[in-house]
Amino acid sequence: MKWSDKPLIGPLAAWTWRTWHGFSLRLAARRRSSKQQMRADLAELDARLIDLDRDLTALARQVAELTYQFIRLERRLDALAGRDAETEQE
Amino acid sequence: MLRLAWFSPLPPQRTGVADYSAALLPYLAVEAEITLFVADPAAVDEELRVRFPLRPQADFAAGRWRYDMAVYHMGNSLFHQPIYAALRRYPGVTVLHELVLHNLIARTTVEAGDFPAYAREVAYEQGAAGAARARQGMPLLPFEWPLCGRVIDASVGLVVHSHAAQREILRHCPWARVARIDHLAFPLPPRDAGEARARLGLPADAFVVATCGYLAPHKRLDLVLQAFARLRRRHADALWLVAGEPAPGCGGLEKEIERAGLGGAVRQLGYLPIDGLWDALAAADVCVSLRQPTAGEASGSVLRAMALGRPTIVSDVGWYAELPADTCVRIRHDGTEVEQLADWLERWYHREDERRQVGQRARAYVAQACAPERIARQYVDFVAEVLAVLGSV
Repeated sequence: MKWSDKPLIGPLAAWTWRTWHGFSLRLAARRRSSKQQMRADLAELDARLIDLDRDLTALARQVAELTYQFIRLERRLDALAGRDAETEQE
Repeated sequence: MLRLAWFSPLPPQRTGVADYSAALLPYLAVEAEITLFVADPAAVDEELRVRFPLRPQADFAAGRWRYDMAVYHMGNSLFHQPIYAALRRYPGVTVLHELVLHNLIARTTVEAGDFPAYAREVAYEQGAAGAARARQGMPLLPFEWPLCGRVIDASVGLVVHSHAAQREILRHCPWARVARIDHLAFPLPPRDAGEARARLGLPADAFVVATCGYLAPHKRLDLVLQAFARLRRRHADALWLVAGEPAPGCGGLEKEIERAGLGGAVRQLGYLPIDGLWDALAAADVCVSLRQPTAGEASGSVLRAMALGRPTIVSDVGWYAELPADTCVRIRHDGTEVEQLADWLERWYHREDERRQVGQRARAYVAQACAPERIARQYVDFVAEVLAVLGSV
């Protein structure tokens, strides 16, 4: 008599197998969906990073543009102040 | 007078942009007050150190309020790494000497073991799909992914040397302020062809075809070699002179030369300092400088050859295609390059008068269009124009 034909042992083994198999399938499905979710999260973060990186570059350019405007205006004011002082001296 | 902060490779650094800046600066100094910013001021040639104020690049952050504009010179070699970092932080007018910056970015990220930084640079220009492709280890395509988008977006103004590069930038960024300013002619030293040949140990009576400059795969030495082999089969006095530093991973020319049985007909001189480069060009009967594809660059070597009155054969692409048709010969890249090139070499082997006429027209063109005084004025005018536009916003 084979061990699997003995009462209890055969059904127990079958039950164990079914339970384990079902559990492992559910686990794999959960892992799969979690991996898909992670991929989706990564893609979303990637897109946001790209947008922010581009925004940051544009912002750096705008700061530089304002800086150059500021420097230019300040220089012109200094030149005017110098001219006024000269006129007063005269 | 404009006060400019000038960021550029400078001699003795071995790059055409360093020579370009050194040649332009004395003329620009007539029009503007210039301070040079470099990574290591002590390493700069004494001639420039004596003539211009030099500051470490790190000082610019604190002192930037003293300058009307920062001017950054960008190219594709590692010499531009600190300049790239500075222009991202404190944008100004950028001179894009070539549009393809992929090599610089790959070498400073991937080769430094920082692949994620490379992926971010690709993502900036190509979006998420490009970054995914880079992450999957797909082939990298420097000419399709030039990676100059960030520089274009960051810059307050851009200078390029060709209409083709200008069009390409405006295609990427239609609102960019971009000026096309000719490459400049370098100061022309007196050169006699016979003496130059003697100095290089070349036969006085040979028919010398010269290819000079940095030797990268897109300069298509393979095509030149095939065309030269045809010429050499007919004329035993033909000699190909190759002068320039081979690009990394581009050292297989010797094998090709041996395979073609041209060992005795080719002289390779390797990297030459500037005097040697002038000698190599002066020694030539014909200069050949192909590009396929083009990286959106102009060629200092071609302009030197033209300034010396040497007839030059170039590719019909980019900046080269914009050279006046009667000052050089342009080869179409349509699969018949070797035939076209071989035909022109054969023709010019026999027609010394025609060579001389083309050379004279080339010399006149360079003297007029690429005069450094004119180029310096164009730089100052463009910076002033950018400042005026900013002021009116």
